[in-house]
Amino acid sequence: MNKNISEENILEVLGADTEKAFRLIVEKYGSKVYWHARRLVITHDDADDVVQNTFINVWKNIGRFRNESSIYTWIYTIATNESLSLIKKREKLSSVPLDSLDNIFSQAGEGDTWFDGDEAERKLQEAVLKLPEKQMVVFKMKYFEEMSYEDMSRILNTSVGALKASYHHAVKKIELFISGD
Amino acid sequence: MKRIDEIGNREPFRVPDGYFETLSDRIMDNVHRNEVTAPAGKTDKTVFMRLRPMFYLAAVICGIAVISYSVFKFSKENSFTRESKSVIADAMIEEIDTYTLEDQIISLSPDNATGNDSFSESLILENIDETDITTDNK
Repeated sequence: MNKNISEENILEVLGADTEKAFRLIVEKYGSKVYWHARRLVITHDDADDVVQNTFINVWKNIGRFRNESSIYTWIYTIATNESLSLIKKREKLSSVPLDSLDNIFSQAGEGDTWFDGDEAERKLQEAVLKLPEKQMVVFKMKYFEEMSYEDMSRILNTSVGALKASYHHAVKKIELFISGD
Repeated sequence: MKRIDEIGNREPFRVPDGYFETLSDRIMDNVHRNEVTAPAGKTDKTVFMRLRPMFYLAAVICGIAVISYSVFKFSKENSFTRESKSVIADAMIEEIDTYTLEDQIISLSPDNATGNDSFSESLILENIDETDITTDNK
C-alpha cells in the first residue's frame, strides 16, 4: 500500500507511467473517497458506486490533469459531483421522498445493515437530511471530515465566507431539529 | 437547545469485512473491464484534433474557391467575346433590307414626327387646304 506517498512523487511517476501513477492514486485516496461519498450518500452500495465512477473518471482524464489544483482537490471534486449526481438520480427514481434514513434504507437493497449509529447519531443524520443540498454538503465535510474551509473552497468552488455562512445556518437548523423532541 | 458537539462526529457507518483490502484491485479491474483507455498526458489530443480548426479553415477556403470558379466560368460562357459580337452585328446588318432601313429613316425624320399630324388636323379645322400652303411656298 502507498497511502503515505506524496502528491509530488505521484506526479513524478505520472510523467513516466500513467497506469502506475493511477494505481498509486487509487491506493492513496481509495478509502478517503469512499468515506467522503459514504457520508454524502449514506448507503454502502451507493458509496461503492461513487468510488468506482470517480476513479473511472480519474482514469479517463488523468492525461489532462494539470497542476492547477492538487490531485486531492481534483479527486474530491469529482467524488462530490458523482455523489450529488447519484443522490439526484436516486431521488428521481424513488416513489417516496428520501429525506429520512428509513426511506433511504427501505429503498436500498442493503437496508440498514451497515448503519450502527446510536439514537443521537441517528437523529443527527436525520437532521442533516432535511438540509438544503449545499448546506448538507458543507456540514458533512466540515463536521464529520473536519476539512478546512480553504480545502472546501477549492473543492466546492465557493468562497470561504459563503462556506462559513452555510455551515453556521446548517448547525442552527440541526440544533433546532434535534432539540425538537 | 441541544448542541451538536454533545453528539460528536463518530462515523455511524460500517463497511463489509475486507472491503478496503480489495478496493484498489476492484477499482483497477473495473477500469480495465470497462475498457477505458488511459489518455496519455502528452498524446491525449490526436493530431487531427489539434489541427481541426485548420481543416475547417481550409474547407471554407476551398468552398469559396469552388463557388468563385463556378460563378466565373458560368458568366464567361454566357458572355460574348469581341469576335462573337462583331459576327452578330454583321449578321444583323445583313438581315435588315433596304426597305426596312428606309422606313426606319423616314420614321426618324422631323417631317414624319407625330407633331406633323396635329398640324394637318389644325389646317382642316381652320378650313385651309394644305395644297394652298405648298403652292404659296413655291
